[in-house]
Amino acid sequence: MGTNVQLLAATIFTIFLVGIVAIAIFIWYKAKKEEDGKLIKQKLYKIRSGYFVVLLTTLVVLLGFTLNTLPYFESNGGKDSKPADFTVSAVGIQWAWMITEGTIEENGLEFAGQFDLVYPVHKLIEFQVTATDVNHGFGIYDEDGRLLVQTQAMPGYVNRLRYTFDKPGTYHIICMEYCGAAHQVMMSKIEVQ
Amino acid sequence: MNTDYMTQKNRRWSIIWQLLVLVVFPCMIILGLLMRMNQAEMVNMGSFYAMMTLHGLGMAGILFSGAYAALWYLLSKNMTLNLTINKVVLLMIVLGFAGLIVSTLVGNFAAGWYLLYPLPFIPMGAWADWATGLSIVSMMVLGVAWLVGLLALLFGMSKKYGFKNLLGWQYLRNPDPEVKIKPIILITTVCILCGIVSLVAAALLMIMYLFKFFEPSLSFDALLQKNIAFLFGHTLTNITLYLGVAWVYELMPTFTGRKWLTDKVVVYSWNATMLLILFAFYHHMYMDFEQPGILQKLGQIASYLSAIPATVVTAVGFIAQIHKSGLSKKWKITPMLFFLGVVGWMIGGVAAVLDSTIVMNLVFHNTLWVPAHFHTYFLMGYVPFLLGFIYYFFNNDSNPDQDKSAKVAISAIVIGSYGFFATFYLGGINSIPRRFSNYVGFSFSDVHEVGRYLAELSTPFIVLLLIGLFLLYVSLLKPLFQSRKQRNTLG
Repeated sequence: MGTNVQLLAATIFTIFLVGIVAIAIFIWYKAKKEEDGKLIKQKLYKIRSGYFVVLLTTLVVLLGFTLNTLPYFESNGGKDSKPADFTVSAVGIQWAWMITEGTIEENGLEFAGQFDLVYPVHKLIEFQVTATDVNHGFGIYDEDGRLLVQTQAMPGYVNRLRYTFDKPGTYHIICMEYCGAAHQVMMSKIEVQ
Repeated sequence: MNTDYMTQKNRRWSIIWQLLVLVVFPCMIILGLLMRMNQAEMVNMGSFYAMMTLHGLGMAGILFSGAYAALWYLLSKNMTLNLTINKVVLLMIVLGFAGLIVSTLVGNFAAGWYLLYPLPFIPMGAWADWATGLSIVSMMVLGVAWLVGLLALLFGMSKKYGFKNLLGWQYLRNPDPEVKIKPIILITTVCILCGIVSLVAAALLMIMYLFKFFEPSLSFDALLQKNIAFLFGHTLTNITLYLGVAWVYELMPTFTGRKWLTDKVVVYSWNATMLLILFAFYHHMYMDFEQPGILQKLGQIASYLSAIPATVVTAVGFIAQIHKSGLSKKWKITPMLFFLGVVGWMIGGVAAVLDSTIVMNLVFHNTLWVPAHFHTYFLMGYVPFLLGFIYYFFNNDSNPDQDKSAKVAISAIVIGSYGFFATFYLGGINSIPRRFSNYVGFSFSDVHEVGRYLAELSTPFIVLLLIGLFLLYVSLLKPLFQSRKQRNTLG
């Protein structure tokens, strides 16, 4: 099912949170003492140079690593350019999804959704996502309620989202961009076998 | 004109400004509380999205206005600023806010705070056309007010120091230049220049919206509109925080007795920040896969690099102010709030940097992780800066009894805020989407139950925050009424 990004982020965040709070408590405690400000500044500014180098290096390495795995197409800064096994059109309208097999070009924007479609497991699926009225968000949730991936559905643009389902089951499509009065019920689902 | 008389007049108008901020701010929190109660299914409000729109616009607007007013007051002590312009800006802001309140609470306008095109024009019966029109005009009034206000500040600083010196480039050639500027001048200039770009973008957007309002057959490119909307919205909120940092640089030394001056590093840092502010907004378009890839990468690079000036220069500079300064032997309220603000800014910053990573944004975009991080660095970052300034402004830092009650109030604010943030962070980790009036529609897994429960859990924390804020106001405003009483007695 791929990396649990939410868990990874929560772990990193917790580590930093503990670190920042620890430093804050330390400084709070030490601020009871009194020393010459100039000396403190000199000491700190020495550490600062080292910290700057470490931080810059870390950020550059992280950027190199994370910018190498973008969800976009190769033509647009990403890496994934091999042909998809299965193409699906998903069009958002206030407040429903029209989803069916084939490209947006083939289907146009006026088709009716085909809800009994079965999607193959372990196959690269390309969702061609757009909207006819306002902006929507096309988010795919698994049965456990975890958001796996998403893209925006924007009028005038077709965003191509690629995903390989590793597990059979029911997946839920949730609108992830506020789109008006009934945004909270704009949902659909797909079956993967 | 008599300088003392002008100073008094400036102060009086600044009191009106800050009172406006102090009144509007908790009102916007109450809207937030009602929204969380709706998500918790404790109440059932048809106007959830209109409230959400007002909460976002109102908070962003009032916090920025508070920053402008604080800077105006601090700068007016050292230079001539036009008070009439300040009054006109205040009046326009009041009018703009009144328009937004009417359009959202009466007209039910509910397009969200960034009015994402073309939603304002396709209400599907949820709000009247006039409410869209009134919102656009109100935004224009606010935008013009802020632009005029910022230009007036820039003009005042240019007159005193010369425009070419405001970004501190003279320090790059000579560490001891002829024209010296304090960090507050440099940071305010950086923010104003970014603010001008932001507000010109807003003006462009609102003019197009007005055309569309009167000629519905017109249509614009949705992605371009989104880019312009976030150039405005992201930049404005970003500089609000940095304007707060400007007065932290200015006021901390008055409590520590340590100098915090402009030097080469500070100049490099804030000039770099200016560029980073202007490019970071692209991170709002990560999920628009058709946005040019180079801009997506630029968004992440700018967002990541902004951690460097923020921590290496400002946070370390702040530590140099406070470390072994004797301050915590008997904390004064203003530096204590500044301290808490820097901590909140750093914590929120980490969550923001994580979300600005494209591969993480893929599962965090528009989940509760987003309000989690921006509430952290606003409510526990910028707001303590602002309250710290207001405390200083009302000159309360001399009465130990008031300090005591204020510290109780601050404890309540801190516990309330972080408890409330925790429910957002947990929501984000559990994939609970934001901007949902409720989670009843989720029929699978436990998304509905978790979303509802976390919203419910947040409500006592928000109430505690409001109580803390109220207690702080009592302690804050006491001297204002006391001095009036004293004046009356003497009179």
